[in-house]
Amino acid sequence: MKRWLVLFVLLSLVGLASRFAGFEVRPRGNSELDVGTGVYTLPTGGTITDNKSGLVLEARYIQYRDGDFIKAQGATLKAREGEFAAASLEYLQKPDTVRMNGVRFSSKEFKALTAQQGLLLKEDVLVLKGEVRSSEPVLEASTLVVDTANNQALVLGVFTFRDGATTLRGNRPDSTLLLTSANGKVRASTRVPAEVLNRLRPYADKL
Amino acid sequence: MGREGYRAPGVGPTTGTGAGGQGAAKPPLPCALSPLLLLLALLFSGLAWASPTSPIPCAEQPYTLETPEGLAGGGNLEFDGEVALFSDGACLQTKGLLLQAPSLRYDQASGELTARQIEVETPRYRFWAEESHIQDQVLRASGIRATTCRCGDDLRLLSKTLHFDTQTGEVVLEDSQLEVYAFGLAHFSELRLDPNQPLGDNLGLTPAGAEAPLALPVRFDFDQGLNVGLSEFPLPDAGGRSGKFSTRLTLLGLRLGSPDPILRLGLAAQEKNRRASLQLDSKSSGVASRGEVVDGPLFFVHDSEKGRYAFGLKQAFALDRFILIPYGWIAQDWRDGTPATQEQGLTAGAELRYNLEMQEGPFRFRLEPFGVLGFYNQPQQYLAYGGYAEGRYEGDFILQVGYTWAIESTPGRFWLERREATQKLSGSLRYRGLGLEAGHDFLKAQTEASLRIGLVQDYGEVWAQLHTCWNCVGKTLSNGRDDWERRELVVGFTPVPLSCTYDLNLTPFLGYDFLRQGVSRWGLELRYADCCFIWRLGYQEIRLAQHPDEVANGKLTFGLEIR
Repeated sequence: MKRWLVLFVLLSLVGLASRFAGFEVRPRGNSELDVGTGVYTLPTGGTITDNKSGLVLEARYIQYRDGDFIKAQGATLKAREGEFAAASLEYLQKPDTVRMNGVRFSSKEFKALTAQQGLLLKEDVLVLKGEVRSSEPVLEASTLVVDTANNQALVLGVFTFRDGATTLRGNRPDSTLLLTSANGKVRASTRVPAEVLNRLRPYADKL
Repeated sequence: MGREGYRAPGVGPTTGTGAGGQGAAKPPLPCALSPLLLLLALLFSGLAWASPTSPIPCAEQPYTLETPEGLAGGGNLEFDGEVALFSDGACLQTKGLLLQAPSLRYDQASGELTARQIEVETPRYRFWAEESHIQDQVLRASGIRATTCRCGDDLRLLSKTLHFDTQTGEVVLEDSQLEVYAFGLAHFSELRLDPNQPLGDNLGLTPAGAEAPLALPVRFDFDQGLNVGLSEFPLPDAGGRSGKFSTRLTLLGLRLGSPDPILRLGLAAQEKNRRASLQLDSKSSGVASRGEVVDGPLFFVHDSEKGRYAFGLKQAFALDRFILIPYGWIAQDWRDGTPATQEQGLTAGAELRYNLEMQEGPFRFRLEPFGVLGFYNQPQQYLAYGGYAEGRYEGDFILQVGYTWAIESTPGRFWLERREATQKLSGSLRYRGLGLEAGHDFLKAQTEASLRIGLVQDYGEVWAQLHTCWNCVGKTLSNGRDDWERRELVVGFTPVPLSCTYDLNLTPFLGYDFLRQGVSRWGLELRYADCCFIWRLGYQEIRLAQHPDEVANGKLTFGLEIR
């Protein structure tokens, strides 16, 4: 269960990343500017580094408009604690969100956490949806909502969580599992307070 | 081929399975659902007594946790990575056990599961306990109530503690009390239960080798007079240490109201290699006794009415296919059942048997020859030899042919070593609902045959059985009575065993004697199943006796079986 702590820490860092305010761009080849729209295109990709948080976005193809959006394909978003890889990534400054497809997150603790779709919101909330999987610890779920600010993660739908010799399963489509981090420990509870459920469930619907 | 045939299918005790059970607080289920329930019972063999608190299997609970102790589940779960707490109805399912409780705590570090107010189901029993711990696949619980009843607990065991090893399946109840309708029957300091065995077997109430469930040790029937009292009534051992009823008491009044009433007092006890029994019959003509004491190879047997007494030893030694049985005894016997032919003396000798069995596909062959050589304290020897040969085919049908023979050089002095001269050919054929048995005795030149035809339906079996004995008139049987001709047809109906609670069925039969042209016998048995027992009330009347052992009379029977 302690490995879940890492997820909260990482997401708090990635949350900062969504601000990509003063970033530095290093093209891998040409950089094309459409003067009509102000959109830069890096057809062979490059690196965008956020000077404030130290987050690094590497991608094979990048389009961006300063103060508006960053679109990337074959992207990797790196932080000190781990990194996100995505088939495609879209950052919008207003609203401050990162939307990803074919997401894979890995760190020292999480070998591989994958999902079909991912969404990072400015409230420091991450939504993973569609075949959410991690191999170690083993997690299989349909939807995962991580609220970094409150150190909470909500699993929705049928899920399997295996840690060591113990395998926990939610067998019904309406299953819920709330993971709460406090004092260096993560607690799991299937009894989710209505206030928490009402706050976090709508995030899942945004994806 | 004897009279036993009438009781063959279902008239005797049945062995119903756990179908049709209800939870403790549920109303009786409609019996129209019985086949469905039976199917469910087969599918979830251990779950036939689905509890109203958690009728779903543990694997289908909203949340489950696989632990080394088994699968735990419940309506909700709190887990901090070390302790898991199931609530809103919890369960634990492991080999041969389904445990249910309002809540369940699992400590991952120690591997211990704890729960209060638990209900445990095994294929034949339900247990309730106030407190319980499961660790290393052993359930330890206290404040125990256990029952075999499908609903309620009118038959129950109350116990201080329970120890259930789910790997071996053995249950040990400490300081327990057996109660029927809240009436305490026995106390056991330690009672061992096999949860897959019926309670009668676990308590040692069912005679060894008997297939029948526990029969009521109380006799109340009418047969040449009223028969009433305790028959083989089980008594717990002093201190209840073994947890088995190995001592039995008989206290019977027989033929009461007739000119020849009998008061019978009997006591029997059994241990591993020892057994002892004594039976005293008080009649108007005097007191008769019979009994035996066996301790390993030593024995003492007697029957005062037959003038038989013997004290001796007998031990079997097996070597490969050979069995050698040396013997020696001092004995008394009345050759023809009267003191006039009394024999007394010593004998010593040995019996040698050889057992050959061969099987090739569906064919089997068995040969068991024997020889007995004995010496008396008189210038006389005893030599007898013979054997049994049997060929058998078991395929789409079963065909068996056997031959038994025995030859005595001179008649044996005592009944113990005697092997009466015999030459009998017997055979049987079984094919679906058809059964044919026939035997020919060459020495008596008589033939007995029995044909049975049964038609099995969903609700039971309709059957007809024809008994015949040809050329039997005046042939003396081993009990000294004369045999006679038989041509009797018995038809009957045997319903399927009762599986529903609050259900009843009827088992009728009717016999006709073609030689004497009249109804030979008839009978009817009513069986009623409640939560815990099957009650039997029957009447059988023999109008035309068909066998020297039979007497024309009516017999009212009352019986009880544990479900």
